[in-house]
Amino acid sequence: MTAAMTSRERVLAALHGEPVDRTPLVNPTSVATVELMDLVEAPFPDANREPELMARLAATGHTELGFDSIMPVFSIIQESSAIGCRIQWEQKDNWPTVKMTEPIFERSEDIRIQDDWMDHPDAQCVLEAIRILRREYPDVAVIGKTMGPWSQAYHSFGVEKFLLMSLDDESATKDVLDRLKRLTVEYGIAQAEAGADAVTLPDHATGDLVSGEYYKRYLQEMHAEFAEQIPIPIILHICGRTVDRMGYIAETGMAAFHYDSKNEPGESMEAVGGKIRLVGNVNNPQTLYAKGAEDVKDEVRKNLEAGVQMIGPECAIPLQTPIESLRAIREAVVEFHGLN
Amino acid sequence: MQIRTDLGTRVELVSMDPHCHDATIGLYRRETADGPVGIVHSYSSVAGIAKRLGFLAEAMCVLGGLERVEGDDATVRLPCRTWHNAALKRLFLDCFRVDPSTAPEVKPLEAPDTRSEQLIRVEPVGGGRYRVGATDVPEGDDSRAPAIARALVRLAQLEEVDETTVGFPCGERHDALIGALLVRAQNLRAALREEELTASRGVLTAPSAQE
Repeated sequence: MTAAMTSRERVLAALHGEPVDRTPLVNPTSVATVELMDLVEAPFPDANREPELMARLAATGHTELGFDSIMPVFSIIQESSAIGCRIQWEQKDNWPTVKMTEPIFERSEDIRIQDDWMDHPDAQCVLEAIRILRREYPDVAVIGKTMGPWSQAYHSFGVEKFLLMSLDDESATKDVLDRLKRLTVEYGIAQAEAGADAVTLPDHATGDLVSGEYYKRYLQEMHAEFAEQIPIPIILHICGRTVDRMGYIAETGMAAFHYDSKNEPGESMEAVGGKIRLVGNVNNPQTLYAKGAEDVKDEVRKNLEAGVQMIGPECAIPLQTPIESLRAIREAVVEFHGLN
Repeated sequence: MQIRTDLGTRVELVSMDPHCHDATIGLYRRETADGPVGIVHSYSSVAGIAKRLGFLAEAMCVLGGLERVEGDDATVRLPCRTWHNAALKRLFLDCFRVDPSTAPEVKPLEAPDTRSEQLIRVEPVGGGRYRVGATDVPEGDDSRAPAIARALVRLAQLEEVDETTVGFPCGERHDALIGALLVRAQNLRAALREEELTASRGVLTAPSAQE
């Protein structure tokens, strides 16, 4: 253990695999809820489109829930909106989504990314929110988000079409990923310049649809490139059962892997072999949303006992998650370390 | 406003109240020396929110037979001093259906069945038990009473005494509450579907799992 650290120091140390004074609470994805939206008067959908509201809502993760990080990019659609995907913005109680039934690309040659794509208000919103948070919370880790090319391909081609392409035509699939990856790199770098300490990089080669071998074939090398090109620690996020690819992920040079509750903490720590840090795993739909604080604490303790380096929910939490369940995450970490 | 740590456990949440600027309003259960109480609470500061919380608490009292806890317009409790969680969740949701420009009214212990021509009656038989009966059952048709009794058991987690008799575990009468539940029990499937939809809304799914 080192002397008392600030939240920011604690998170950065954990991401770099350095000693910490206690296990940091990190949310690589959203911890916004409808109650927190009311508390700070920053409701969806506006909090996804107006930087002041985005920053204010995101900050509650630290000020009200006690996380060591603040993550303002609640959704996964900001870049997709910027490149022309149709967005269903929804209401306060639901997530904005890309209308993937209305794809904007048919073939890899259709992919045209304008050089000024980041000038779009939905891309700028994130950058400005990060600047606000950096200014207002100098001692808290600010985490951005840049979507990976696999996720972008789902959004711009449609899930079914892109998955079929990945089965039928390896060359075309790689061409699509190559053409989309500049979004990931450019947005990651821009967020670093805006003041982010780290970025989450969701790339939904999820356990239910994409095998570990596919991850290796299509994404491992590209993710290693991202780790070289984006100048801040990257937290890769992939939902589902992913133990079969954790060994590959651990070789990419990314700082951490944000992992799902479908993977046991012990087996996951073994799978990554100390080459990448883990964060996440606390179940959202069953535990955080529907069970009580004691069940939340049990899951947190299981991660702490397995040596998982950062504690947090497995993915963006349901917007109706009870606040008492979220606060139980911090209570469990504090109790585990015997702190007040 | 700050996060309240004295609310206890959240029982149910309505994310967007159409009658009060889409405010999010919850029902919380707090343990007290006098037994559990229900607190109707919102973190919203929109105009009229205090009045709205008071109205919902009042609706719970009228529709469900709860009592106000002295000194707080938005805190209620059951006269039996216990807590019937599933029944109160359902009651809380139903209070949002009450037109706020009208006074809530207690539901009678009988109602025409929505799926037949039968009239469903619920009769207290002592010890917190209620017998479900049906009249006007056409010859050759089955009585809907057993189905309604099963629906009450499922909807409000009541005890199943026999085919047509259900009971509150506290052993006390809850006439108003059973009257309110009777309305929903007649279309159990719709009530459960509504619960499922509510539970799935606001859950972010991976792009690969989105429709």
